[in-house]
Amino acid sequence: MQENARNEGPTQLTREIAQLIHDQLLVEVSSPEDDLLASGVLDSLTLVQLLFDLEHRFGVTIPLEELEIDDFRSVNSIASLVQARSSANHGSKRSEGRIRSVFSEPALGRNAGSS
Amino acid sequence: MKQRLHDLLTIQADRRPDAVAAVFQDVPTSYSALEQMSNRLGRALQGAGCIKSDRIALLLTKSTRALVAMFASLKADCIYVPIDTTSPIARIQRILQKCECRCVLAEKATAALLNELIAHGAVCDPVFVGWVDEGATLLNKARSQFTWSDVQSLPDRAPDSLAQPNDPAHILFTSGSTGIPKGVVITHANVIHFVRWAGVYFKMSSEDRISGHPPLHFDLSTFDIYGTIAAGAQIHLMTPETSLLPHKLADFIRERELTQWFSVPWVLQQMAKFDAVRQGDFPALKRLLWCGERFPTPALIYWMKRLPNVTFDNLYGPTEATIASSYHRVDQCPEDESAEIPIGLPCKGELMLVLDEQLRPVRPGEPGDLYIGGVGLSPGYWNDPDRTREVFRPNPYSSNPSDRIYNTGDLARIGADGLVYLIGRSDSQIKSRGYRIELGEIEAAMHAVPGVQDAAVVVIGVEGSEDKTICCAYVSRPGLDLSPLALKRHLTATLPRYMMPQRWMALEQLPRNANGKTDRPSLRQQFEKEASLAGQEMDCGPRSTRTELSSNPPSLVQ
Repeated sequence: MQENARNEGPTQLTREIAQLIHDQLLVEVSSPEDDLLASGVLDSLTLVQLLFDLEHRFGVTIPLEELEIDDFRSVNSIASLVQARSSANHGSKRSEGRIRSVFSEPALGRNAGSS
Repeated sequence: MKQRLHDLLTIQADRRPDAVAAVFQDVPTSYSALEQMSNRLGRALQGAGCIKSDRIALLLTKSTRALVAMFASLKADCIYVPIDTTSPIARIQRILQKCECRCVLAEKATAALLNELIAHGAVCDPVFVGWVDEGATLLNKARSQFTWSDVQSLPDRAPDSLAQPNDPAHILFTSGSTGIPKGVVITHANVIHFVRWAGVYFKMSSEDRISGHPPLHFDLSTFDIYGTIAAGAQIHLMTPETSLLPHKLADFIRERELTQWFSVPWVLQQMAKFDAVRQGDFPALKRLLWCGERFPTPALIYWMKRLPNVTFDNLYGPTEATIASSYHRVDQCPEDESAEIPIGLPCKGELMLVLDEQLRPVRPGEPGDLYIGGVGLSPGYWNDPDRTREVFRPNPYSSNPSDRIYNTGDLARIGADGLVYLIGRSDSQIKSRGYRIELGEIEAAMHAVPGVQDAAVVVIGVEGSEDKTICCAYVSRPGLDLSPLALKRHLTATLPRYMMPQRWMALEQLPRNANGKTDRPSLRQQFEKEASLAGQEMDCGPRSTRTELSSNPPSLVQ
């Protein structure tokens, strides 16, 4: 998955992200420009889920506290985020920097995924 | 003096005209500006033909202009109805029909939504549109009476107001079990009683900077707004987007130097879960209040440990009894994560009774139905005497025959300490992220989907935690094989997003119990089994965040 994110163009990546939103959130996004926040596709519940799905699917680390709301504005902006994070993460250890969580819960990843 | 809600604003505008009343997106608005804008808009409404008790639908996003629209409606002696602009068209349409609005106040940002409503026939003559900004082009069928530039040309003196304190001020719509939202009528006096009590109890003052977190169709927001205005304080309205990222919320509290935070617990839980609060954070913050559902004790402990100089109050009360009916200050940080936080004692002028089926008080410690009486009680549901009679009953313990008590549907007990503790619900209403949801409304929407033969909605997850998951089991008509995605597409047209089921199960038929009724416990078990399988795969316990994150395991989604 990480290979895809790194080597193929944004069109492939945006398609994969739209598919991920379709499969995981059960929502169809008609255009990569669609405002996911204004339309309510992403809310406080689904945003965290999507974040987790992105980390799992693309093998990137996305620290919540470094995020701006506009990073999730559209499929296109999510694609830019994933690209930026995958180059930032490249070479770093996969298991670090997960979304921080208290109450002694395990970190938010399934496994290292497909990377 | 017998006050109306808009008098609170007029008093402050006279007293401190230049003081800041509201801040939205870094733009401050003074008390005099709020007063004058609402006077003008009130005149525009009257000029367009609005008379006493006409309903004004506010098709407005959250902004200072929306506050102006509220005060203007009241000054014109009208009743405002805040509309959730993220709701599906069909739902908004039902609300507009139910309250028979005279006018829709709209803005550029909601013009597309308004035109859709017009196209569906939900807004047509004699209903007229007023713009609180420059507006936009409307479809032919509707009539626009004024734009903001028309409003600005009107005198800024207050319009003549005949409203009495016991007149309705607004109607707030909540989920209804039959699929039709219920409009809770709230009077000026209902809100003023609570605001007066809260002003004294919380020692609110003109120095306060108050959070404006909940959406304006939520009754929590009425305390933020009128509590602020009554105290001559500042309200800092937040956009819904600010809530998406916990650390952005923390930034907001820090940068605005808020002195009071009031929200549903979900928001506070998210901030705790992602550790967005530093030790000794928010030095300006004096008090933190929550309402709407149970605040899980581990998250409360997180907050209390980090903010030792802040007071923590649990408020409780349904919309039908106005903002909150009881309060409990958590004086000491609980040591035990399983400690139960009571909903406490009734606010001044309110009454709480725990009764059995014959409306007799139950013994201390025994569970019973929680009833509320007193000054916060709504006159009832708009245009719905049957549903009003069902839950608002004569108070058997009062000599005054007009005295009523409201059946909250909550089960409660009175503890050995004399405080009221919540136990659960006696019906199928749930709270999810502070949203009040009737599972019946979701089932009604499912049954309306073509191709659905049968459907049942249940909830799994830990009571009182955020991990509640709405689950839907359904049966397609013979020969059809409806996918969750297809169903979701249909439901999106009728249900708000927060009501959308997160787990789905296609069945040949729904399980039935001996009486032939849907066997809900069995469905819950099946969903719980699926959930725990998915949970094991991800190696997490039932209380972890993973339950919500795993809400669509591949095995359940075709």
